[in-house]
Amino acid sequence: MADRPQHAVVPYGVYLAVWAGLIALTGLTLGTSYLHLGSVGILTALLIAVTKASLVLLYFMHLRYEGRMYFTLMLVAIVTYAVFLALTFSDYGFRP
Amino acid sequence: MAAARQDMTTRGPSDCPPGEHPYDAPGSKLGMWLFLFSEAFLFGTMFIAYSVFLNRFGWQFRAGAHEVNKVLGAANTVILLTSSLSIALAIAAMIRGRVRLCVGLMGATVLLAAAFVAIKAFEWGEKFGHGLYPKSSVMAIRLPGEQVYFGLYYLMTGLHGLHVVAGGGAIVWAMLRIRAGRIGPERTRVLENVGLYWHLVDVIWIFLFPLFYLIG
Repeated sequence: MADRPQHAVVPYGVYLAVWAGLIALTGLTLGTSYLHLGSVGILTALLIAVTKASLVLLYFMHLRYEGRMYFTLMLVAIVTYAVFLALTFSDYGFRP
Repeated sequence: MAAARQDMTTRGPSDCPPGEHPYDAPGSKLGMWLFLFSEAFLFGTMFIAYSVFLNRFGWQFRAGAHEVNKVLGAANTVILLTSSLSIALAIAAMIRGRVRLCVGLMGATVLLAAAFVAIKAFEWGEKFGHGLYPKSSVMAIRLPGEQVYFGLYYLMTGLHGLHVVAGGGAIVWAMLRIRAGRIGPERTRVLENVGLYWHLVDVIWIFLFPLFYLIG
């Protein structure tokens, strides 16, 4: 296992394609903000941000090419954060 | 999992000459990721504070976002995304043995980082010029929601700005390590870790941009 590659050899084109997608999504989120959609607008902006962050994590940060250990680590981090958020709003969400 | 565990143990410090740091690429990568998780949670707690105040102050909080410049925020987003591309390409070039191309792309990343900081400084300067900074007399007569918005705006974009400066410094440091022959096509891990840090700075901005510029 010592000769297992330590880094993924990703073609330059993949990075360029991901970058183009990120720029397009930035345009989309800026454009939608001018529609003034209220809470729906915030939700849309967050959804686009999550998509963009996922692209950076999966391709630029190579998570897509990592083994199961990194998948598990990521999952633990996301679940922990979700617990923080849920516990906070189980209080603040129901204050008069 | 088993593969990863084996991977980490096969490369020990035994083959390391005295007085030198052992080169343990998988261990180094894991350590970097754990650090990045702690960074993510540092900002994560502030995002929780943000969501609580947005929930509590509603339109008052969102009124603050009318006063920041969307176009400058979007420009900085494009700049950071492009710098993420250039550092990713730099590492790809180094892996292929194209050291000069790698150094050129790293230089471009540092210039983009400087451009980001310059735009950010201009934005802050403009706000300060209008007296919109914490504890100012102008701020004191604003709505409570707006005051909290600007407090979080300065705290979060300020801390992020420090990360941009630190990340830019790390890239310059890595360039010096390449010149010293300590990073090369066969020893890319430290460079890749610097790249990971830079991408994380980008990921944090990906959330800061809509939450502070686009909610108005």
